[in-house]
Amino acid sequence: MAEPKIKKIKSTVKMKEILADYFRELDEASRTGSKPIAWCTSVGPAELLHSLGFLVHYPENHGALLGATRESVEYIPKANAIGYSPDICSYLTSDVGACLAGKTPLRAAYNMEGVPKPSVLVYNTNQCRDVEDWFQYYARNWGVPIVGVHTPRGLTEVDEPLIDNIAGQIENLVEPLEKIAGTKFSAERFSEVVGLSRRTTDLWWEVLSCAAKVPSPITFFDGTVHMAPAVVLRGKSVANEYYETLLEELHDDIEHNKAAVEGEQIRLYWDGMPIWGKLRDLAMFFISQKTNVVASTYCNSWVFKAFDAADPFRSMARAYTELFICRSDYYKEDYITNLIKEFQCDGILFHDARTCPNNSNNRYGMPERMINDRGIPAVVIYGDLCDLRCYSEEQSRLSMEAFLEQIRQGK
Amino acid sequence: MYFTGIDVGSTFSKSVICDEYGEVLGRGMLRTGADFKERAVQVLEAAKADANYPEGAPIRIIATGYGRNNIDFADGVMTEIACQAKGVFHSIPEAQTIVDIGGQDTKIVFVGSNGLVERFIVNRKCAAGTGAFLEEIARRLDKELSELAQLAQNGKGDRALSSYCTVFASSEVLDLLRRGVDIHDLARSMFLSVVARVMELATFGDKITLTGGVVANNPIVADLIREKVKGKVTVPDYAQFTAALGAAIIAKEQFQKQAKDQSAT
Ligand code: SF4
Repeated sequence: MAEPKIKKIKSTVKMKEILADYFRELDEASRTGSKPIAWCTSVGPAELLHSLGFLVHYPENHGALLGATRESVEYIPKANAIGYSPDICSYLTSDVGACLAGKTPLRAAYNMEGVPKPSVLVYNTNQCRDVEDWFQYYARNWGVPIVGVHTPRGLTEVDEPLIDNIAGQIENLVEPLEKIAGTKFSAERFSEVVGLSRRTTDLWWEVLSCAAKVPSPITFFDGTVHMAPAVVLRGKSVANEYYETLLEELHDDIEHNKAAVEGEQIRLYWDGMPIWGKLRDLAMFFISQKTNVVASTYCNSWVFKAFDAADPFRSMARAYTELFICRSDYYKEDYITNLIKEFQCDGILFHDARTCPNNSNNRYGMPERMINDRGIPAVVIYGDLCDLRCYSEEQSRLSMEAFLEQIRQGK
Repeated sequence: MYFTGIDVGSTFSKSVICDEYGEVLGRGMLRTGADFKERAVQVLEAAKADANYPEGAPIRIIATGYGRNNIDFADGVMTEIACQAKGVFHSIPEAQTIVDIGGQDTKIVFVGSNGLVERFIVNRKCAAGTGAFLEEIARRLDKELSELAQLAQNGKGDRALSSYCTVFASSEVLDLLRRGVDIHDLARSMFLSVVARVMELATFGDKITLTGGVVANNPIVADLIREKVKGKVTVPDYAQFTAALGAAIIAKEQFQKQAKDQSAT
């Protein structure tokens, strides 16, 4: 059988350029100290940092890169050996392990000296506690200041008193961050960045929404690559320009009925983390099965519809608190069901990532409820974001193939 | 026309040949070993011999099981989930829960009254609750598995080995021996442990069909499951061959559908 082909996205060239510029600027600042650098969690208060003149590095992005290059497998054991358990976040253990080994894929990919040196570490526990523990490692070892926002989780409603609290926590970051950056906070600039971020996330949602078309011009696996600007460049006009270009290409594909998966027959929803070291294999597998994973919780996690330039602190507090990952299963199940309808999915695949309970939504009976209460076919595969020691190729393949057979028999 | 299913499992390879009515004409079974394709050829030959297959007669093959994708001479490939459902429903045509305990994994398949797979569960990576676990403990006790199954018949107690992990369970066995636990009771514990691992995978319906080598070779497993569940527990004849039979039936159905489609056009 001929190898299945992955449809090329032409705009990727442009994305690579803007990402290279982003890393070049970080590297320059890290080498020369020309600009302060903040490390920020992926759904941390990045807009505030940009407005104060920080360049922002996202360690989770580095974790994903370590996973995608499969270097994680080499570094995770080094972090395990100094007491960080193989059961905790493998972004954390990959990143800390790479640091212990003095290695980073950023060198080969972007010709960087190393991971950019931070002036401050800024986290938000909205996604998990691991991010705080992760940043604490560097705070302890390098003596770098650390600040953060503590967000409660498992929320069904996101009410006003909670938003007051979170907005207050974000405002409290201003003073220490001003001192570290050596700049003065400007409300005008902050509001401008929040406005730009809103635009980024609106455009990103438009990109994802293209997959609601049948056949879809884009896959979840494309999404995990093309979300990079929404993650690391949100709040910058280059990200917005990029998504406008990508959208033009996707609209053109839709107009010409160009499918990402030729002969698309089955459409799936992916819940949970990507398996970074297996993205290509999985993309090829689904193409060979004429199946497109058209929607996901993961790619949608960088859609922040609440951002409002007119009310930057509170809207940012809301955006980063009403995230899927902070919510109760009641909310999550409704959310997924709506997307499954909107994207015309035939079923849902839950990825149980061994080291990330926060993104493994199958663990408290959700697949059973989706099947029994909502009539949505579901399957669980077991793996991990970075730690491929937790992934059994054969077992996952069996589950996925059998799931697609199950869906086909009902069609 | 002959229709064949070849099930290359992690421990044993099985083949079933049937005719255009789904009547079984022959079977073959061999240890899988390292070369899946070679074993598939051999097990097919064994089934052909058993079926008195006239060399050169037209034959359609569906491959299934762990090594399914290595059988490049097959006409198609289906997972053992779909094949189990098809094979079991062929002889027991009713809604049921199939519990297949294999050499390296355990699968639960919920089949509707129309024979379609409604849902399935595959155990997580570890070997607890599978044939590999039983073999490991037998090795630890320096006994044949069949002997342990015999001993377990006269064992007492309701104590399963508690550990999820095969290695931990092995040390638990050593600890029990050190404490002088009777070997009959110990053997019973070991089989109870397989049953416990299987039962925690899902809530079963009221009709349960057990398949796979562990059940076919160790009747004690079905006896213990009967003690634990309210529903009716059935072990079909040739419980190790149900996936291969299902594959053969799928080969037959696909062929007949194609023929029908062709005659319609
Ligand atoms: S949410 Fe999961 S993957 Fe992300 S940082 Fe936390 S533990 Fe790691």
